[in-house]
Amino acid sequence: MAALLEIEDLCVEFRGRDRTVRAVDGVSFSIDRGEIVGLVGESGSGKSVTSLATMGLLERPSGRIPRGSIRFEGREIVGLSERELQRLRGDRISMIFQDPLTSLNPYLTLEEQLGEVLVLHRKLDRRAARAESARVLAQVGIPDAEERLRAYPHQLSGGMRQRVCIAMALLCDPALLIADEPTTMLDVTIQAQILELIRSIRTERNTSILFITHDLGVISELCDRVIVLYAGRVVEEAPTRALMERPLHPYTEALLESTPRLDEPAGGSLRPIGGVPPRLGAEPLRECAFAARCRRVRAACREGEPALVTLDDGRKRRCIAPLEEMGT
Amino acid sequence: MALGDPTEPRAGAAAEATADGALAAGQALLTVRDLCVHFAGPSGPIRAVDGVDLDLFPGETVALVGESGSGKSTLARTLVGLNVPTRGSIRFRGTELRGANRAALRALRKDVQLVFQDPYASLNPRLTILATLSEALLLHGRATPRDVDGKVSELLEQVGLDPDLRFRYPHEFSGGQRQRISIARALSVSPKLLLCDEVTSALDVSIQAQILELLKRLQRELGIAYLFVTHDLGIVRYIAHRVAVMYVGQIVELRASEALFTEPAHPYTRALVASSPRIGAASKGKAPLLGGEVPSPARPPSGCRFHPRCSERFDPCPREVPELYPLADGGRSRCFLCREA
Repeated sequence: MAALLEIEDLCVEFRGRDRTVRAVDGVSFSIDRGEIVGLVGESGSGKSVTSLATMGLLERPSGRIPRGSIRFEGREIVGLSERELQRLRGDRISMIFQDPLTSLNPYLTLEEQLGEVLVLHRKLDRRAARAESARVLAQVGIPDAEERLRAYPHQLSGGMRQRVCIAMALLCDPALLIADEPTTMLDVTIQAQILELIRSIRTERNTSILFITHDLGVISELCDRVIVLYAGRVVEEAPTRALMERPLHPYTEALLESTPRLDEPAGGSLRPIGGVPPRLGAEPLRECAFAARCRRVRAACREGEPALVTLDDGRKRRCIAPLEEMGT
Repeated sequence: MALGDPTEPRAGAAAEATADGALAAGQALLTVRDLCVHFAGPSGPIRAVDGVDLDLFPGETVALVGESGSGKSTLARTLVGLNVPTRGSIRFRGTELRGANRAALRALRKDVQLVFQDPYASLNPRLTILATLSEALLLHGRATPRDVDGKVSELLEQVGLDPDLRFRYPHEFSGGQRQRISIARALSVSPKLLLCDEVTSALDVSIQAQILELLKRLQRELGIAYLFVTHDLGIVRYIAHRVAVMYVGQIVELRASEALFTEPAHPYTRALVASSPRIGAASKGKAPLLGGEVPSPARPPSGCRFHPRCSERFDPCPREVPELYPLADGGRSRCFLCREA
């Protein structure tokens, strides 16, 4: 069976006043049904842009897709009209964001915002929409759901607001849920609750989840598979545990080494990554994107960008350093 | 390592600093007693900080951790005079800060500096780095107009920036560089204590590591003490000597860092440590470790403030108010289970 989502050679460009930036360059990956895939990277790595492109939410006319394909349930999304995209969004694919307060309408009660989705996509009447909204709110762990339907977003805590956003995303039982840093603004104990909720959504509904984060700890707790982005490129892809235990790209390795670990006694030292990511333009890179910051760099790295290579065990990496060298 | 014991006579007698301003061995740099910061709320006072005792010794790093509403930022801001305490005492090298006159406060302000989370908001966009750093140096008499340029260059080198960048404006720097500039500005007056309020939260991990390494190096070189406010326990374990865990305005556990992570004493600390995501965790599918949410400091629960969420609560918890009980290793925990220990 084909994967639920297949992204192939995706490029996204933004045209500014004085230059064009290729924020995503040749990104390919797929997500199977019921799978939780993590997309990890630092600011500017292209992780959010990739997800916005998948939702058809790139800002126009500055953002465009010059090349590449996004197939969802076997159907090409790139090039769909706004009308067709709208039918897909909130129904088959839905998204939750970092800041639940800005993604909820402050003027609408929960009943109104949740009901809107059901009336639009499932043609329910108000009464049925109300009952269904209450049911889903209860499912995401909101106590007194019936009562809460009358509340406005500002009357809820941050954790409760994120639960409401998740409920709204689940109303039409989407096949794919894209979660862009949904726990970054939450306290750790509340984050643990939301991660548990996301795990249960996958178990109970077999929903596929694309989870975008900069936090390798959260990836470890939640994801089956990880895709590491750097400067708009996939640099490594692997099952989560394998990646954390033995990263095969020097960037992944450096990311792990620069993260302070809760389970490591003090006195250890972090190994910061020196320098900054390359400035992306419209031109293709003439060397490996990570070459300038890489501690395993060699002459060949400067001679052209390495390809993303699939290894025998199915892992992928974009690096020419010998495998034996990694992890030493 | 000295563990602050609020009742110990040593800390209380730390009042007199010697004439040249040096502290006797074992004397606390900062002594906080029964500090309360209450704000007026629509339905009574909001007890943001409610009875905090804390000592900070020269050259050590104390992390202040807690979730939203725990009071950690309010406490830090109060220590530098940005909030007015409702009650209690803050002594810096023996001098009481509450009610001190302007001249005394200005002298103290030199010794305690603050670095904020967002370096974008805390640097004046219309001043070059040279102008920003000169201001503090000249104001506190650390440089003369003649040698200020050289002093600025030294400061920039100290925080790992190229002195040639001093003619640039804040917007020409990356987030990490800007945070280095904020640190340089704080260092310009040779403080004894640096309050770091979520200084790396806005940065990517690779840049965060650079700043954490910088702060560690500066502590080694200059002997500055840090009060480090953060919500990230990974950072705490990496940088702190001691940790104060706050919950709804109070310190619930005060421990040496290693002890806190290996044997957390308070049930809230245990939940906090267990809830933090771990790299390489094999804990998939575990149930949420802590239900409910942090109560509002406007309506703190009766008895132990943690009792409504605590899985280990027993008879006294909803009725009696626990104190910070001493632990065998010198730490303290505000839990009845530690009363006899």
